[in-house]
Amino acid sequence: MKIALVGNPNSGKTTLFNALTGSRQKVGNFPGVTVERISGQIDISGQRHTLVDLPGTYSLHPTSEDERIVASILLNPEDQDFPDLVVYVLDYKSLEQQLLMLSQIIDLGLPIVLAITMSDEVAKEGYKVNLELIQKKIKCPVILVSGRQKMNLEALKDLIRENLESPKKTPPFYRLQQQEEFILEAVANQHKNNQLTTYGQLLCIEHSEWLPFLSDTQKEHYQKAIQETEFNPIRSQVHETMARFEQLSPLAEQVVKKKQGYRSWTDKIDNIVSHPWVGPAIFIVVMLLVFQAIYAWASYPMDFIEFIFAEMGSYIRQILPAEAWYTQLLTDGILAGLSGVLVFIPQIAILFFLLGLLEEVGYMSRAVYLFDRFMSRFGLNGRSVVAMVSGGACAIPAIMSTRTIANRKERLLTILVTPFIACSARIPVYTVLVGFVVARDVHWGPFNAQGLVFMGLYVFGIVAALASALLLRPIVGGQTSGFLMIELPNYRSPNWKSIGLEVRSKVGSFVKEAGKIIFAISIVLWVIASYGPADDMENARSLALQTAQEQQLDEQATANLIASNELEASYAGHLGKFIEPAIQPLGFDWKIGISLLTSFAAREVFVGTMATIYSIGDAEDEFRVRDKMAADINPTTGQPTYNLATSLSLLIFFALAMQCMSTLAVVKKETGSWKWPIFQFIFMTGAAYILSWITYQLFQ
Amino acid sequence: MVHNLTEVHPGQKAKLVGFGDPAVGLKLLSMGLKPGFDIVVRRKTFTGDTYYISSAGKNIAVRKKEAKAIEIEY
Repeated sequence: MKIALVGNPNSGKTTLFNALTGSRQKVGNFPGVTVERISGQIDISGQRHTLVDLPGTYSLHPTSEDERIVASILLNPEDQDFPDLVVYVLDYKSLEQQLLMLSQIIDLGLPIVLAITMSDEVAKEGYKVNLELIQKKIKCPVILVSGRQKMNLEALKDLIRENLESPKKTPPFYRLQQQEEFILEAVANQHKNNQLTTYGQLLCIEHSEWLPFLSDTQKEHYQKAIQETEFNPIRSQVHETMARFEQLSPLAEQVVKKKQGYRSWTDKIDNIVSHPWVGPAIFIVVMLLVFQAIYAWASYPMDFIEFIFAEMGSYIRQILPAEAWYTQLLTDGILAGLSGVLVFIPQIAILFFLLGLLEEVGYMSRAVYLFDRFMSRFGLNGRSVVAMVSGGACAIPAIMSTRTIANRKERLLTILVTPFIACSARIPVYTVLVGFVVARDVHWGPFNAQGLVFMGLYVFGIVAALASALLLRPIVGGQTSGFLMIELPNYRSPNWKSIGLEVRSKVGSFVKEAGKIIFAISIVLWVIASYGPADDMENARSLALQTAQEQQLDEQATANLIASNELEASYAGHLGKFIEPAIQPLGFDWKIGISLLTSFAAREVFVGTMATIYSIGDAEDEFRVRDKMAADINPTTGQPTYNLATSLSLLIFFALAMQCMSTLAVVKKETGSWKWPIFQFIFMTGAAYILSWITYQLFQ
Repeated sequence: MVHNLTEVHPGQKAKLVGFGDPAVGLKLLSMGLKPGFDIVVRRKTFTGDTYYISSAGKNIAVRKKEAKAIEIEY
């Protein structure tokens, strides 16, 4: 049997879903979080049923795409998710508003069990709920439950079982108006769906424009009937909603008794936090603290992870023959690739913990309120703030967070520009290159010049994102400006457990999704950088040995020289030489070319590749990489390769180019086709190429 | 003359009577804003383009365009 969980956003629906199925999924104060369809299994007295968590919606008259899912399923008995029973989840707060959709679903004639959630807070916040009265007036089975406290879950299951076995008919709520009767008569002869109630059929007519399961002839027929009877669907929906409230308001007042004054806390906090100019200042400080925390807290676990991998590598080298190809593939390819992925876990975990915390207490919707106008100037939505903030750590979760943006155009624009925000993977690259732009001990006024350039790169990323939004705005199709209309929930203390689950699931999906790609790429990279045409490789080796003998190099330096020459002769080296003409106008040579190629898998790979190229074993030792790079002389000009022009050009390139396979994969998943990730790749990398070229030509 | 929510000052009490734009009205109705109830603009953002409104125990942020569609008496 199929059971659907339906309810308003923030109704505690997802918490209840997790408690019933034990699955891992997001709970937040942020309306519209459950956009994906998520299902799980529950066992009720030995029988297995499918439980589907439908997106949080306010009504069966949806205004945004994610909300349409509920109506599309409940109006289509052929749908694979069409439920045998609806568990309507209701939060005791703002009961009246949530009874609205309940009354609509009752009118669809579906068997219903009403679950009232968060009962553990009822007494605390001064509410009293009269259960008997609800049961008497609405005439459907009611139960108080708590997903958080796991209260009454078994009783709820019993109630579900009872109602699956012998479904009770709940009397309809809404009496149709004359206008609505007319149009139903007009379509009655044709295309009447006998599986639906009259109200269900009315909804099909009113929403015939977008309901996905209607055939074209059905749609045409409905549209014609609407014109002929001069039926105004939206007016009718407003009328219906008001009529329902007329019935529900007195009931809600009787059922829930509120204690006065509980809201004052939220209002007091918002006097400061949502203040016209103190609010934005607080936001900026909060963000600075978040990123401070990420760098301060993450460095130790990151060092630890790298240490573990280094130990594993040397252990494998000890127990397996060191020169064998499989040992090298295992250590330099797979282990290196894995550590490249896993090293970011602490940062991602900390970021999600802090952002989850901000969301749980109800802060994120305030940031949306404060910055909506600013963002909408660029064709974005206030909700884009959340994505761009997350983008400072990693574009992947940031792009996933755009699901809350209902307007397609605003969402797509946010997805397209978020990767411009300087993510954590750019940090190692920036660290190395900034050193070539300004020397370490230069000060501009009281500020350290390197620090300022660093900050400038972050600002550059934000400016690039906003400017691109302006530029892409006319290109991306769709309705120009969406709605804001976002609920600002009361502040509440965080549910640590649900934040914990959230962090775990996000880290898990990062390791799985991003991990697969980085893992595969690192193996490919290892192969093309380790092998080359046999003759070339042999020549490179003997040449290196000859040079080493002439210069009387020690064992370590000889090995380094061999590695460096072999890299040049490898397939990767050939590739670098091959693309050199294309990147020469930007001031890059073939060595930078190889690193650029490898860094398209993930930006941080750049430093590692550079380290190999300049034949240093340890990529983490950034100063040594930098020293070697500083000493590198361009054979054609006789000048240092990393002069101001080349370094600036390279920095600009890294700030703008789309060099992240994982992000592209996520964009594909979120937009549903390869069209947008390909477009994004060309746009970002094209912008990087052009601006790097201009930079190089200006400073040369 | 129909008044709308952009005409009142923050803190000034008003009564919600209807919606100028049915699409906005439908969404706000379903979020818990109902005609007949008191409605108050609590605060606006720096540019005055986003409104923080309260009615029937609900706080909702709306764009100015949406506030214009909220018809009131005061």
